[in-house]
Amino acid sequence: MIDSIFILLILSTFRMSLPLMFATCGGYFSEKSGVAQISLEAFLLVGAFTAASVSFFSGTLLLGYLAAGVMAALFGQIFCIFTLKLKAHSIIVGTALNLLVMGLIPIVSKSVFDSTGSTPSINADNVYYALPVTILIVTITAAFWLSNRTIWGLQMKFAGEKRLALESIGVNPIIRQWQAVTLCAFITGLGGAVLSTYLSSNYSPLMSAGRGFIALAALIFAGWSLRRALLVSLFFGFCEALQIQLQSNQLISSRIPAEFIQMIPYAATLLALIFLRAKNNPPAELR
Amino acid sequence: MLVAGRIFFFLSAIIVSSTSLAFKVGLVLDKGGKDDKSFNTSAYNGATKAEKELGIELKYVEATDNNSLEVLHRNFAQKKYDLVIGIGFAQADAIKKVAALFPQTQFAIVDGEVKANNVRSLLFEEHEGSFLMGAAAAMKSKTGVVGFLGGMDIPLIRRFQKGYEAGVKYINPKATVLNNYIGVTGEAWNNPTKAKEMALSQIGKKADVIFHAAGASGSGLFDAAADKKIYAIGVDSNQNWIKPGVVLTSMLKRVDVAVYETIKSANAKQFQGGVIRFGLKDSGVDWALDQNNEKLWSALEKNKLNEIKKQIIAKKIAVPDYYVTK
Repeated sequence: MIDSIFILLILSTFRMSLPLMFATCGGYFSEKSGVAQISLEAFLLVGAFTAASVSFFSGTLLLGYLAAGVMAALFGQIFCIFTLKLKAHSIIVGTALNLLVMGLIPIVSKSVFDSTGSTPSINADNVYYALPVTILIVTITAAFWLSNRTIWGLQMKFAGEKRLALESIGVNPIIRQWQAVTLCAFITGLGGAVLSTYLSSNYSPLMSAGRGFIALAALIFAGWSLRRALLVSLFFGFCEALQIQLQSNQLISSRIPAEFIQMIPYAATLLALIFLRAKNNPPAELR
Repeated sequence: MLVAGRIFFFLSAIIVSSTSLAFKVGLVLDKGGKDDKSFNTSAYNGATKAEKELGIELKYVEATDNNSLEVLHRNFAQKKYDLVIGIGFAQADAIKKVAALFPQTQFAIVDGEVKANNVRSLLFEEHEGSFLMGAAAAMKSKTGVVGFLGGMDIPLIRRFQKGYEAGVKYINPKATVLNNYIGVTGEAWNNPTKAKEMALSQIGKKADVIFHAAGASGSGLFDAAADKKIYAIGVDSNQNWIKPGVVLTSMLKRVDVAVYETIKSANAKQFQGGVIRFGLKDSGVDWALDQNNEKLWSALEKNKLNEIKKQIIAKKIAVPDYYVTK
């Protein structure tokens, strides 16, 4: 019994942190290249909606994932145009995008499905469990390789740390940032696809439920290190899983009021912030 | 600001003047939205039925957050809607306030109680229906462990839980009931991912029948139940069709009937304020049996459930009510 609860908890932790890990991974590129990124939430939602719709019509999940990434990346271009070309403040543009998505998706879903922002369920027989895990492993491996082993990764980081150095070798930092934000949107869009096709079987309004911001918190919390940020995402997922497990545990729920158990993820985050504070070293030119 | 106000006034003047003389009904849906396949869908179906059959003019809106509720109600009242219906307990405060400001407008609220002459409160005896669901779950459970999945942690949903637990114990006193609540905010009605996770955790603890009262989040339960080959029980609307063979039955809460009847009586100028309660005896609350779940029930089991239903109506079975006992 102990064993099975333990395994349940691990599996649950993993599921709860899947979309977070995608979003963290995506956010890493944008933030590292010096573009503050608060519209992860919007990318997640665009990805989730696109994946659910495309999977519904095509019947193939892989196509749904791809479309989610591509659509989120396209959506990310709006962000790029405003912040990088027109020099608007990234926080303001990010907020605008988050609000835009809230309105845009219901409009699209109204014309496509005649619903107010949700999609019909995709066929459950098509849910293929190894797919999100494979995609996550590929994404994380690629992210590490790209940021630590390639010239592009180095230049991307320099765009966030010292633009002048990058300009002196004849590379336009704006272009690196543009690529980084596009990549960020693509990866986060995949996370959205996980939400709507793996963790549930349809898109429902605002289903990201603040995960974009939690991912951003994980990133800041981990001092902008990709490895640590992914671990922090796992930790956040663990708290959520623990909360779920404890609530339905008769022994515990009969003694502790549900309100306190539901508080665990937030309380744990606060405590962790106090005790495990990583040394903060944000990218020098993050704005 | 002033300019914007004038434009707004101008626009609303156009809207008001251009509308016909038909009886106008405004429907304010809850956060789960028109397509939650559950609570709001039921309300929406009742209202569209009235639109088709009675020739009233219907406009529906969805509240994206609780702060917008008062504005939505006020807008309908200002635009001279004859009847404004709020769906969900969260709207009680907004209706109370707006109904006092617009005594000429008629209001109705589902799942909330507002004491005013121009407000009709439509309440349901959820605990009676939940008792029946508990009995159904216990009859079908092989492991002796069943689950309950609540949406937002509020007294209304606790009422479901308490009735359900009593129903389970009525059939099998040794059975275990696992309880989970998705959250403490309105977002809990619309979080299928978390619902699925909670259902999986309950299934991991050997639950083989799970009942949800969680609005649009319920789809997560149906996914988990289909994956793990266990039974789920739907709520509010008839949800048997969502996953035939998986959904054991649904606790019908006839919000559609309540909404339709309210519109009908208001349209016939017979609107009266006050509280109207719907329970098992008037089929305002019931269990759903149709072609999608017929095969799951033997004649014996059907009779047993109907017998329990009769006994509750005849008050031979006392169903605990969370509102009364806590």
